[in-house]
Amino acid sequence: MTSTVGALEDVNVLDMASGVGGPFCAKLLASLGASVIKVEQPGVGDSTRRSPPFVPSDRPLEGRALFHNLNLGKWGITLDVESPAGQELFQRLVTSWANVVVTGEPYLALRSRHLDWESLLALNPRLVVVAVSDFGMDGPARDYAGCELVSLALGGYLQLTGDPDREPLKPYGHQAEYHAGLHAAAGAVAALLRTEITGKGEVVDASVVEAASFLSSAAPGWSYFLGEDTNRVGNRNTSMDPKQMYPSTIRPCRDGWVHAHASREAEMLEVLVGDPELGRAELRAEPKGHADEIDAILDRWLATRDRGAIVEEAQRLRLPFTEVLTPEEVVVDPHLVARGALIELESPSIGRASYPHASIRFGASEWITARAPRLGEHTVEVLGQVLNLTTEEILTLQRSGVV
Amino acid sequence: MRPLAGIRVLELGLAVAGPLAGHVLGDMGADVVKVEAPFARPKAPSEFVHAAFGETLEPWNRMSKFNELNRSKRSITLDLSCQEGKDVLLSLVAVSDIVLENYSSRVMAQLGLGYQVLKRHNPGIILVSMPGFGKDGPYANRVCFGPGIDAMSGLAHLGGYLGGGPMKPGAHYCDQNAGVLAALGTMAALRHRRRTGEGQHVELAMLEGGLQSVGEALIAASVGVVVAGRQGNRSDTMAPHGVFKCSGHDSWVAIAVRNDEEWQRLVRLLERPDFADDRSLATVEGRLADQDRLEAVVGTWCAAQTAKRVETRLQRAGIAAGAVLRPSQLLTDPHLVHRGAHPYVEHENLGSSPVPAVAWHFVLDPAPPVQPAPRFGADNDAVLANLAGQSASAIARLREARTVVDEPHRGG
Repeated sequence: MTSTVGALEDVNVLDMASGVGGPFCAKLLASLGASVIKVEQPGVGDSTRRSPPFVPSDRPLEGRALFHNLNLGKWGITLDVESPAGQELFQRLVTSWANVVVTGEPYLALRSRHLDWESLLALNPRLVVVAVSDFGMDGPARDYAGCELVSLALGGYLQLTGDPDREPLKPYGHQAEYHAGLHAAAGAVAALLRTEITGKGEVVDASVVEAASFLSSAAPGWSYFLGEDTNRVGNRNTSMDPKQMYPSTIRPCRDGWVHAHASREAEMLEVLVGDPELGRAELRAEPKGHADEIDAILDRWLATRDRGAIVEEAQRLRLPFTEVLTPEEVVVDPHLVARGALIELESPSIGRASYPHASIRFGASEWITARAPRLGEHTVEVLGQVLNLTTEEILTLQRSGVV
Repeated sequence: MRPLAGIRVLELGLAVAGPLAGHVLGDMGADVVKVEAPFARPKAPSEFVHAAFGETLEPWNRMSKFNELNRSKRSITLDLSCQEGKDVLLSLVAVSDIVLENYSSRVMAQLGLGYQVLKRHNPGIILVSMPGFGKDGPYANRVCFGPGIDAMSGLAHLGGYLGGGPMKPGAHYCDQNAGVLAALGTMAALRHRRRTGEGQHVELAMLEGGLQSVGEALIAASVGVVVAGRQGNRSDTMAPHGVFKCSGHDSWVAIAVRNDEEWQRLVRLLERPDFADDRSLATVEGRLADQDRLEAVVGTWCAAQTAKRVETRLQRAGIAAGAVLRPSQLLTDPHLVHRGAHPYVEHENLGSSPVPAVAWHFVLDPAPPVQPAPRFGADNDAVLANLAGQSASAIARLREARTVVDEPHRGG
């Protein structure tokens, strides 16, 4: 009964995007079982083929961990859509093969390459077009120059990260861009569910700045009702009310860092730490208002103990403490290993490596994780098998640099 | 047509991630019935229960974060610890498509509401579970909240100021991530059911959801490459790339010079011809090597201007820059307002209030307007009578036994 294929097994996706948001959207669709053809510019490739972190590889464009994470399970072809021959082949893929096209450039750049949604839907009116961009397809900042840092700033998430007495701090990596890709994938599947009933195509217009603003979650609402802004609070919980629970923070211990947390379990925290200071009436009544004191008490206790033992003891008392893990620790963490949360794959580009695997576990369909393609790895296969080109036609395209 | 027209969701969500997944489905037009325990909302006023509307009037209906996370839903109350409550839930399961829950991993089975039980009442049911760590494995029974997951995914370790300790992102990251991911998984399972007729149990461990967006660091770590984290606001591929103080209290602007051409344009704005002529600064490698000095110069230039002025001047020159917006500014920023990032809903107890919209829009056939959050138990009668098939006298008995309540209470 149970299928061994993904929920999107019969969906064909053309990934025209470069960077993080669009490719991550297409990667999620591939993980759900869609067939995804990633189209890259010949000789150039996706911008993440040049982004850190670098891992040892046989070729310069193949050794970027970010590219590999974002392009798992896709076929890779090269195609110069700005050349007339390339544009014609692209249009044939849109007309005869694709159910979904994912783009990742700003609107004006898309229009100049005939990748705007109007052009795409004219070719295939049943298409779901997913446009992921920094600022979206309309609005006064549509044509702004952007990047992760600027989207985080204009989406407000930057203001909420870091210490209150220092500059706002960018979270690691590409969190807003990844989040936009996730929203875009959710929008794509919602659109597919409807399109498959109505027969009418749809355009999913997702933006990184709105993903950052979504991540800022409750802060705008609080400011609206309280008449003042909440601010970044380092690792502490955002509450401004001295009566609110504390700790919720990250503190150093003997061999690393722990996330320390106690909400309704204040008495259990006293049991854990065994310091009568924690039971003082003022601390009990206004824990958040005494955060500095609580930190000092905690630090004394943590300094003489190891992370593993601290978390184990706290969890036994149902206190939600966790370890602050390094990436090196995450990939060998016993829980994640036991769950198969990461999967080892062999790639001709970077050899054996571990990749995040099933973030969603389906009882009746699969989450698929397969390695990322080399630049143009499947060009011949796709042109031959999907577009029925002859070997001679493919050779001509290769010689003229179209693929 | 609503994208999820005709789809009914029973949501047993708590805190952030579960309710967030529920509202995403509600925003897409599903009928989301939130099933709340009789004691689910605080009876007494607590923080962010807004005094503006009176201290004592139904504080449980005036929690702004709760109302954001639970918009586009209906609400019923049900005590699932007693058999009568379970029976009502199972009769609702029979007429629903999805059950969505984010209890810790053992709770549904302990309640006698595991997937196999639900399936007996509705063979096509899709159960979506969102435990923090998953239903098995050494940490399956751990308790945790969002920031604890961000600590375990590697995200907190990798963030931070140069030379500083780990720093969590915003209030949390993995909660929103898990919520949207669960909505994606739910819709994928709906499509699978449409094609095959099969329902299924979908499990989303928040920690595993959180691994996606640090995947590059994990891949690198697995092949022995140590990832440079805690770089403050610096980048390995762009310089200058930072956040600079502007005039005004806690006012900042983010600037990223993405390539050599943008550097030359910045130099003209800075009125520093010596920089333009400095060949060592013409390439990103040279600028990365000289970041301290360049940041000091840019910082001085920004300090006397407002963040918006710096943003406008740089953007006119085609340089990536943006004022660091405070939460209140997200509600008035012309671009975000134009995009509808915070639609206002009219809530009976809170009045007009903004909620954060999902980050995508349908251009041709827009999703229905976001609906305000339900008052506690607002749909008790309608749902019990019309969906659970309960008679008026049966509903009265449920109320009498406090299996169904109209105001929160503790215990019973």
